[in-house]
Amino acid sequence: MMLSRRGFLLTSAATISTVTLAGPVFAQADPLLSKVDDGSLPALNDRLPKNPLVVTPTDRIGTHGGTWNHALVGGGSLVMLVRYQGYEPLVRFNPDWTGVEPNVAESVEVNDDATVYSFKLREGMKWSDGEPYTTEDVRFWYEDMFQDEDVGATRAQGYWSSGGKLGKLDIVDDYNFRVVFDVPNGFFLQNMARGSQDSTTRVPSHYLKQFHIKYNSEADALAKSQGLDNWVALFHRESGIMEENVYYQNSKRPTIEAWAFSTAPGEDTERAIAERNPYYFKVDTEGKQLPYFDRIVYQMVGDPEVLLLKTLQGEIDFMGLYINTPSNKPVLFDGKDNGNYDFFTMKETAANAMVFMLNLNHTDPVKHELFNNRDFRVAMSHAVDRQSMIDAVFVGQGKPAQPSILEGDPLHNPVLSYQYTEYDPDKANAILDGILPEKDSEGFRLDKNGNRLTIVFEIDQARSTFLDMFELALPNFQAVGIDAQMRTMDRSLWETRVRGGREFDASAHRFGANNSIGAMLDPRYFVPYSRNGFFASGWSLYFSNPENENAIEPPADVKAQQDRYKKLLATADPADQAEIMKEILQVAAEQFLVFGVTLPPDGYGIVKNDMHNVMPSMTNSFAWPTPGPARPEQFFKG
Amino acid sequence: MLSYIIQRLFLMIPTMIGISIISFAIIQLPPGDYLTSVLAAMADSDVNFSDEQIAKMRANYGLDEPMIMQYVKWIWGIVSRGDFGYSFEWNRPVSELIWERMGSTLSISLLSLLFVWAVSLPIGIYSAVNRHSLGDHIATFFGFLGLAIPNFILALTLMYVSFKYFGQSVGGLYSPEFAEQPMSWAKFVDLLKHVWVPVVVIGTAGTAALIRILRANLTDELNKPYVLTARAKGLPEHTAILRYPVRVALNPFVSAIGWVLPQLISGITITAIVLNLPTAGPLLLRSLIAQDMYLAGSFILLMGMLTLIGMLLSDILLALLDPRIRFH
Amino acid sequence: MKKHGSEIAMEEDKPKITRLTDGAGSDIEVAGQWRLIWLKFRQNRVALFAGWVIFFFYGVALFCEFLAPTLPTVAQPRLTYAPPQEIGLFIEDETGQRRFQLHVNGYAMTVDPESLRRSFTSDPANIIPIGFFVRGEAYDMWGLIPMDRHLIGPLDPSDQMNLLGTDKLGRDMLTRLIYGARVSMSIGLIGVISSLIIGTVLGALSGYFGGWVDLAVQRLIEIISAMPTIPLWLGFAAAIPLTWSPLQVYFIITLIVSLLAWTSLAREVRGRFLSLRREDFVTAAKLDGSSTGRVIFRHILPSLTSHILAVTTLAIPTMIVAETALSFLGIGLKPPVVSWGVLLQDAQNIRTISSAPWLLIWPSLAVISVVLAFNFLGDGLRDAADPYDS
Repeated sequence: MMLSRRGFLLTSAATISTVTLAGPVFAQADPLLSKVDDGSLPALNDRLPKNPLVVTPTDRIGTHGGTWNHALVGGGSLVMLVRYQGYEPLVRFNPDWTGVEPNVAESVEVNDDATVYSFKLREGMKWSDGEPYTTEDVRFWYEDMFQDEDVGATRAQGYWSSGGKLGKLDIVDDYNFRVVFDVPNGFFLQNMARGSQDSTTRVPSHYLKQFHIKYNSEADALAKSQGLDNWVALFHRESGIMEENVYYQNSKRPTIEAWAFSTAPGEDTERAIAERNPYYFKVDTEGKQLPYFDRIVYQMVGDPEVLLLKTLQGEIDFMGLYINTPSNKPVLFDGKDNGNYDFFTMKETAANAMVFMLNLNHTDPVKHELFNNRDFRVAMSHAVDRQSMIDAVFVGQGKPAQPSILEGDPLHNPVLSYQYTEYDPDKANAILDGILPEKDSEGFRLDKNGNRLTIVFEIDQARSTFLDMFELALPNFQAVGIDAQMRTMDRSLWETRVRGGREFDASAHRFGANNSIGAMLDPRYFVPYSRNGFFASGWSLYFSNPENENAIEPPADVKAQQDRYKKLLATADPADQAEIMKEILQVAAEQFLVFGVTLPPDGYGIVKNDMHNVMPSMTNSFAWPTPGPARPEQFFKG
Repeated sequence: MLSYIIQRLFLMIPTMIGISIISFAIIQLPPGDYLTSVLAAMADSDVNFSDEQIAKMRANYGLDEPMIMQYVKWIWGIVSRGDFGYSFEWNRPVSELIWERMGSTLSISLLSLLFVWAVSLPIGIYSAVNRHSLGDHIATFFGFLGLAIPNFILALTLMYVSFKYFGQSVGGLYSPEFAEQPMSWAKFVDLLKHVWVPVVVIGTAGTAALIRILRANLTDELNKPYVLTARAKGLPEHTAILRYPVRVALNPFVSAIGWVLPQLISGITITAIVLNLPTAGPLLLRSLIAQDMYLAGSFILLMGMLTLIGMLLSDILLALLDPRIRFH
Repeated sequence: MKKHGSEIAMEEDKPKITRLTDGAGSDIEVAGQWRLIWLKFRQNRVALFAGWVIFFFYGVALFCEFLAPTLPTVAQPRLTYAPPQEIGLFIEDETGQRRFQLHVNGYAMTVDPESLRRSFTSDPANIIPIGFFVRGEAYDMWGLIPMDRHLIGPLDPSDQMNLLGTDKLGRDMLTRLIYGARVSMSIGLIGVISSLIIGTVLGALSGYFGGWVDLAVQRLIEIISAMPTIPLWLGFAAAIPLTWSPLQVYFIITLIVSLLAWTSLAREVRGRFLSLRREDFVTAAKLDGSSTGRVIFRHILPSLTSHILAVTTLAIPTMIVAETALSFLGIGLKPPVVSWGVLLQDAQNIRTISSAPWLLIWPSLAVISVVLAFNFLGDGLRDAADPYDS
């Protein structure tokens, strides 16, 4: 666990071994020396904060220069950019995901009961245009965006609340601020370190104020001159605070990230180019300013197969998305020499390779009653031949399991993991005979109204491994007399019907988490609590807002489980957290709301042989946005 | 003639209005809107929004207004100030995005069209003149091979072959090292190395149709009495064939121009996606899937306009070529 | 058509010209137009062969349950991407005696965890005898008659026979190819026929009458053909109710595609009508007192038969190919339905092309054969229907 004791101080551990910070060595190692010489940039010492973050390279000190050849599939997938250049929260997860460490913040201090978080920013730290980054930017985000009625709460910043009350921002001076909660907020830092959750390092107030009505009374007119209705729309477009896509499509807005877009995605629809940020706040242990790479070039590719060929050809330096499927592995394996790359391991963190979900809040009363019968779900689980899916889809890599926590983790619960995973059609039939004894002429079971029970699984067609697994699972279900069918559909239709609706019978999804840290932050298959709990969307809404018109009051046992999770979130002590989580997992095993196939086998990514400082094995997750916390700024070629 | 053209141009107005309404409605047919898929992608990355926040975002995009209002706003922007709207997904004005891709789209389409004609004209004539000969069957066979193999399979296979055996950078029009350079001889050569794949893929799909039509029409013409007369009076065979029958048989070619070009622009979509070509098609498909409605709507509108102009042109050409057709 | 003046005249209600008398009497055989076409068609051996090929494929489609060695959904999870097996004719028994026995060799399989690949070699020690009319997976012939006999298969139903290899889930490719024929060979037909009828009728009316009819039809054609097809496909596909089965959905989509596909034929027919309607034989027919419908459908249209046939023979295979394009866009047929388009869709990736080419080759060959056969058949029909050709 990451919090070893109550109340703690996080500071940067690494120091520069060879020189003092004030020394002239920075200037010698300045990758942008020519620009300093011709006067277009200040000297390196004036660009770095007084106390830059010292990064200890994974393997060795690198050299400046070169291009990171990269690619994105589909125009709309900019949400992935946080993985490569956008992961710069105040505090970040450490490379092996055992805890958080300071990043933009120089240090963070937490009081004993986790109600007061004191942040210290880096003095002299600057945006990519040379303007200082201070608590004014944090205040601007908190007051003029997060709290502003018109701008609207920026994005789900639920972790800024605890016990239903918002944390208070308390600015001390230019470099110090505190966040104060009434009720302990045990996961504030972990949440801040997750993926792209932290917005406080993404809003250059000096740039954005011109679009805010509070600072520029002409903001409305400015928006209208650009064909927009009001200043809010323009403000959102300029800040990109809601949508990751919009955030990265703006090359004019300064950033603190290692590379700043010179040609943003969308400004060119074929390739995007991000160039070194001359004011980046990190140095290596020799005092060389990071990043090592001069720039990242993203080719925009329409089809993953093209990307696969480009990778085989050695045009791609690093790839942990799109093409790294089990079925592509033999092809990539054969192409290693020709493409001059090798594999790295991506440790899978999803709770299961695929989770079957019956809609527990179905609008149809007959199915609603049936799906909420735990025995029915047990029978369905026994009907599935998991080994055949593991053999066919994962080439035998895996072990039948329900959505659960990995073996070896302190919170591993064997009952939760392995109950009802045996393939036993006879047992399934026996249970079902007790619930739905009547069958029609074709051998399919009839529901209590005498109609054939048809369960349509609605699947997002982009998830091709799901389709493969379902082709194997459907005959399994049919063999026990359940007319299971599959409908594949376009993602937005799937989103509308499944995530947004309650009229579907069943679906499947993955993600969630299979380790303690991840599962406490995202227990979606153990507690229905968020929009990702679409097997019980009404109950999930009830968790966050019982007043919501679509919220459904869950039965007492589920409600108790939700309360348990609320209690966990308000708990500061790690030992207490683990205790509550253990209970949640045990209850989840008893409730058995969803069932799965197998814990996902570890994946792989590819990295060019001349690209260095990439960890040979790293976590694959959104929360730990692979490879962001492994510090792409210290990757280099040579 | 002139009054006919003016009349036709006049008639294009109701058609355009019809197209604009249908295109806008078609985009809205699928459930959800632009934000649905954006929110989906973010939800997958664990960024979730409350209902109130989503409503606010909808309002920013003007998606909370009724469809009619959205349509009127869009059309009014086009008519009053030539503003085709803003692409949600690319965060840029629609017109910029479209123009950016028009050059490569038109040149690849034209190249493919030329390829189609260069291949199908001689084969079509040869097949019609030497019907049921071995050459005819072989030519037909290869013509139809192109039609029979789905474009994306052919594209993918050719790409794999050019990777496997020629070791060439695949997809797109340039190798990465040339992508940002200004045009040069080396870059042009690099372009040629890439462009043959799409031209062949798109071309082979089109040749079969034209060979068939040409062969059928020319056969009809060749059997007409006037050809017999021409032969009888001792005209050399190539004159007897080329002077009139081929010209007449070309009519369908001409009437094809009108719809072939726009169809090529949108029809090469699938090939362009597989081959990663910077043409309009993939952008259009992407905008449809993402429900980036102003981009998609403007694309359809523009394509419609191109088709209408093309059809008008082909009608005029047809009349010039074939005096038997009269304007009423 | 001019050759058939005598017949036409005989059928007129009130002939305005004197009826032709039969010349020398009974020694002249009278053959109708279609009989003449058939007589001529029979002589075209390529076309006849193409006809047999199509007949063969429709036969396969009709009897697919019996012809296929197993069921298309039967997966062998440990036999993914297994290569095709060869049929051997003779085996040697323990005494060294060779005797005739159809067989295939079983697989010896190894899994390489590093490359995540199963490698198969033919195992000569593991001989799997096969035979005809064997018992295998139970099925309902045409969904009606319960049967379990298959044309060919392993004598022991638990043995593995994959003559064309297996796919990503270890399903028998031969079986899937045979089942795919049923869907692929039938589903485009209706679409082609409906677009043919609409296109011809509207094109003919428009070209013959001109005036406001032409104006209206032309606007309609303009609007429809000016709309790019992909948005229309996507739009309609998304608007179809989800409760329909994948096959029904696909059927509706082909119908929609055909309702949009008639315009080019209509334009061509109209063009022909524009140039033909002032031809002498049309004037003659009009003077004859033929009704408008008669002039259009009996006089002008038959002279376009060859052209229409050429377009139709192109259209059927185009529909088959279009199915694959629809699959690519994710709006065509979807698993668990098996069609050639679905098989090709499965094969359109580098993994298959590089290491399991049989998944690409066989469905491609099937599509190519059918498309070519339709073409040569149509070609023969066209030639046979041509009144000038000798």
